Amino acid sequence: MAALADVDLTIARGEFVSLIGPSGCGKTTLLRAIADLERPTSGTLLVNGLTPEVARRERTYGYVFQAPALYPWRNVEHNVMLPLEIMGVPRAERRERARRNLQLVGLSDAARRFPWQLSGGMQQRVSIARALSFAPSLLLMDEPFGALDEITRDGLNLYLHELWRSTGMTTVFVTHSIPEAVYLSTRIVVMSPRPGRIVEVIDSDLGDVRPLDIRDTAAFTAIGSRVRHALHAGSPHG
Amino acid sequence: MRSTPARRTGSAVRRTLPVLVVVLALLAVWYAAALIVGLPTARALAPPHTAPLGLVGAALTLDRPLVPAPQQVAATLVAGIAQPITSPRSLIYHAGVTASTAVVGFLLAFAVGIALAIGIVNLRVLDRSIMPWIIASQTVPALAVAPMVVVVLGNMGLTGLIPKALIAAWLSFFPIVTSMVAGLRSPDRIQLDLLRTYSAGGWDVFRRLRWPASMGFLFPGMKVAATLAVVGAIVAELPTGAQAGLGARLLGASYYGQTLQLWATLVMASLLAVVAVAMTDAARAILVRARGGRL
Repeated sequence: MAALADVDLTIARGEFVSLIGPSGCGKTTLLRAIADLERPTSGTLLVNGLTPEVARRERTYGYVFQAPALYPWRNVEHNVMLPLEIMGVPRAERRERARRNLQLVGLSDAARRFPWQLSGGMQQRVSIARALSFAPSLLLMDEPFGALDEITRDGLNLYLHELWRSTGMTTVFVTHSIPEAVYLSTRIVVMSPRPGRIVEVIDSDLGDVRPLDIRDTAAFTAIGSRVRHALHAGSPHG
Repeated sequence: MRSTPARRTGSAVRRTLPVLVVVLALLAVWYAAALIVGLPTARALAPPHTAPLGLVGAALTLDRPLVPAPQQVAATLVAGIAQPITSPRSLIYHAGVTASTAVVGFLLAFAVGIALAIGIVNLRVLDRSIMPWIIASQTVPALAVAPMVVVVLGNMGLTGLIPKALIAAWLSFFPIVTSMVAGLRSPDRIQLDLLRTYSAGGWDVFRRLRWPASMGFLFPGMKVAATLAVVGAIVAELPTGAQAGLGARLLGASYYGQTLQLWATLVMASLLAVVAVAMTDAARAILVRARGGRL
């Protein structure tokens, strides 16, 4: 059975796009297809004008998985340096980039610690630093905060928003949390399951500066409710 | 958290107490067995009307006991160790011969085992074709194969250490192959996908993921392999007409009915295995340290 059907979407440079939908709507599959971790059976998919395979070979994107996927035998710094080692970056520059990216996610003090010595939220921040370490032009994130508690998640949402604002990095973000999608995104792609389709694309035009309490504003609630309605409209049992 | 001296003693007692209890229980069973088996002989040898306590004492100090008492074995062991190392009666000398066979056999098993595991994990053909033979190799009794190996290699001009080490390696490589195959296959999908997103090549996947991930699996296998290398070295000394080594010593003692010698040599062999296991534990400890406390 096809996981996705009739998906037509263009993402502009510098956008933060969330893919939201119930389980089985193919949002992760779509992200994995962009990353060339899955091959679509038909259709055209271009990443920065390249096929996904070429884009992957050119190391166009950084990918953050649902789990931190840190290597337990490497300390934090060496986990961040992993992609740089594979890409043949010289040692001194590896260290420098690891230092800079750990600073970016607020983990400079944890460089020598091992993954099991960190909380789940810190581990996921390390995995973000790792994805950013080789300065990709695109950031792909697959429910990166799904396994974390709400308070940690709030903190990381704020981090991620600041990070996106300061780097202007094109980001595709898979989630099943409406507030998270509304808070982080410039556009929200609502999907429905069996087979995965795009129901609606909703702008989340809350401006560039978004403190956490923006979630209490009427504008925020209005966008959230549009997303909710779109999700219901797309649900076969809804 | 730093433990106070008092608590450290507490945990030391807690750790040694169970071991101590087991050792005492074993000694009690051993003494009982020595007494039960030795008593009829002691009664036959003793002058009439010997007091029961005297009979007990005699039963536990027989010259050629069927089941020697622990203190007799200990005395023989100490005497064997105390011999000058050049003496053919030195247990240290014999243990050294066996140990060198075991070490060479283990290193051979390690190299072959890891090479086979890498082949099996990377080539589907090897997995199908070689794995059944590896399993079959372990169902063949080493004691039956050992003389053939020695004769065939002897005809090819190989004598001494090499044939014995090959037999030790024969027993020893299996746990290394199986644990290493499991270890190299242990990385999960997400860890492999991660490297794919960096478009990492096969060599990078191997040295940065599969190899380091396999270490947690390798060491338990290596522990078994180390003891099997000792057992294999001893087995190899039995039928090869070896003049030296714990196996040769066991065979001689058994042939001449020297039960004290037999038991002392057995204890020496188990001490050697303990040292072998301790060495793999030490190697593991070094790696654990380098990895910040966990494997």
